[in-house]
Amino acid sequence: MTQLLNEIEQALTELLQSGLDTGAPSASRQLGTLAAQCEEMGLHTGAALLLEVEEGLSTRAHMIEKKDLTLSAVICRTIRYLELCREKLQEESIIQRWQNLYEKEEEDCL
Amino acid sequence: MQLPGPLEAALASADENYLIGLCNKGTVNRAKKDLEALTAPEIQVEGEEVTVGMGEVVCRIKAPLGESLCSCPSGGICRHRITAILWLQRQMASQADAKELPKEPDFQQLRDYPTEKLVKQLGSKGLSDLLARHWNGLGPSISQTSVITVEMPWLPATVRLLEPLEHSTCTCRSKDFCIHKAQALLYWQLVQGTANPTMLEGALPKEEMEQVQDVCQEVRRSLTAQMVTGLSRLPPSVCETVQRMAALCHTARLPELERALRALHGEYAAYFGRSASYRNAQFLLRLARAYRLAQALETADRETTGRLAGTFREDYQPVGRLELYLLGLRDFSGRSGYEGTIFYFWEERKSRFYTFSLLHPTFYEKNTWRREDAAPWGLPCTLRAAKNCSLALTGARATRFGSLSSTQECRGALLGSRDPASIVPKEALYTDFARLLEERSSPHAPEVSRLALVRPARCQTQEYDHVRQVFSLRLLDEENRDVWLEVMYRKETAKRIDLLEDLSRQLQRQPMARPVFFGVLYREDDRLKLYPIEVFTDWEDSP
Repeated sequence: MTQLLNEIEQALTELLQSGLDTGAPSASRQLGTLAAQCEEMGLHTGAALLLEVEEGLSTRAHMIEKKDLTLSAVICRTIRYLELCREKLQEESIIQRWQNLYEKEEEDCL
Repeated sequence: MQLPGPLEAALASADENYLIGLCNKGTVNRAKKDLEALTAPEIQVEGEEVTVGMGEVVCRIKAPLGESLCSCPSGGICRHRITAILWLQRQMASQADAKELPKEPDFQQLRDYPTEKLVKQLGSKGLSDLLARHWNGLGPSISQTSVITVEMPWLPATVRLLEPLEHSTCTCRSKDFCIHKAQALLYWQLVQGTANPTMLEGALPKEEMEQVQDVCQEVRRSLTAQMVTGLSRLPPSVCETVQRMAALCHTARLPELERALRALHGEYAAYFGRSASYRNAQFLLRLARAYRLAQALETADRETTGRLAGTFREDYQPVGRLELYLLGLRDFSGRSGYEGTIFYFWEERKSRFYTFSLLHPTFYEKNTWRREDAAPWGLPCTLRAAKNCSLALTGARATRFGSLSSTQECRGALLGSRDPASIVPKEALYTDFARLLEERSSPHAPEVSRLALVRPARCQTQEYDHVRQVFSLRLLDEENRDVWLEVMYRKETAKRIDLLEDLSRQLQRQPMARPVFFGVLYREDDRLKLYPIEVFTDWEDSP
């Protein structure tokens, strides 16, 4: 899960580094793949958001009048979603680590 | 003695609060003393008023009491008039014990006061500020007895509203119906439901909302343009663009959006300055935060705008008497251009933490600051010297996040050195780290909500990390859940690390020792961490 979130973050960073004008084609493909992975992992909202970004980028390339405000709003929503996922995941990973420590301690005692 | 009907009713309904409302507490207290020394004044009933002769002074008391007159040159309600009123009340009480008690005033005149007149007096800016405070829950503290006391510490002003309204008083000492009285009355009408905030919104000019929408739209357009161009192709002048947008937000009174943009500016500056502190993840978060806030503000109604816009600075509200215990302090030197000391207190009665910051700007006053000199609230010693001591503060003021004000109205008394275990209840000590994770480590919570006193079941000393230059100590609870105490080496933390290393050696000699750690919790990767502020090695359990 952490790896998937890192990959999404990396894809969005690259997109914003290159800009929507330049980075769109490669980011579009990558985001589509990541959306499918999100769906597999049960991150349905994440998958929907990534697909929306992907669709926005693909459509944008064929439009004279670009609807960039809508696309940038979806990108920012995706970044916020990513932040919330990370926070939840971090809390769970702390608890998981504690659980592993407890089990290890039990095994050592036995 | 038969008093005129209206005067008798006015005297019966005027309690001490009402008299204080007419003048002030000092005058009423002085009048009470004068009353004790008063012997048989000359009384004469003339029509609707009573003349009370007290030596050289003659008072003419009538209803409403605020219109009573005195032969002394005082412009306001003097002590003579209050003495005469008190004397008449005493006579009434001795004559008519059986009479029914006066009922509480219903303040009908204040309810009926036209809201439109108040709105006109406040003007659009005043009304907009008032509504923003009302929606943010940052309005005044209102108490109602025979008078309505409205405290507005951000002005600062305290208004005592009473009937008739013309006799209401304000700490600005204005004899007229001043702007503070108008504000106080409108706040009270809002609380009572006499004034409707939605209708008041209609009185605000449309341009203000349009300005907010225009600024937010401009912010969104600009940020979108930056996303379209891409960070690698943006010129360094984008830093100024973001700063200009922040200034626009300041003018449009959108402090939260202004802060978000200034934070984004910091990321841009770090990127273009090739700073090692630049992080892609942080840039994305700050960009998204500014954008989403602008988007929310653009489509919000007035009430939501008031809430989302935030406040420029936190108000200090009166919190009454506090019994504080100074748990610890830490020297602070931030990138924000301020440095100083933050003091951390435990409040006994409210069972919560308070902080007091002594900060000063470093950009133009370098090396002139003497930290040891700070002795706020009239304390007999510096705060640094009061460590592990109890203090009693009267008239204290604090923000909603528990940051104390150094106001001169607050007076402090030193109660002496005490054992922390006798002050802090056992329940406030965290021994279960799962509870600590849940309650005190929320990532976006302010620092005061992440402060905790932690008592581990045992501690595991760690090797000093020479690569990262970090001192660490592993704290474990009964269930083997761990919290990592970490301090990174810096000039300011060198002394703290020395003390912690001493503690580590002590713990190696006495592995059963259970010190109490006071610090700030935070999360990093898959670990819960604690930044220590103070360590108590001899914390005895209270019986």
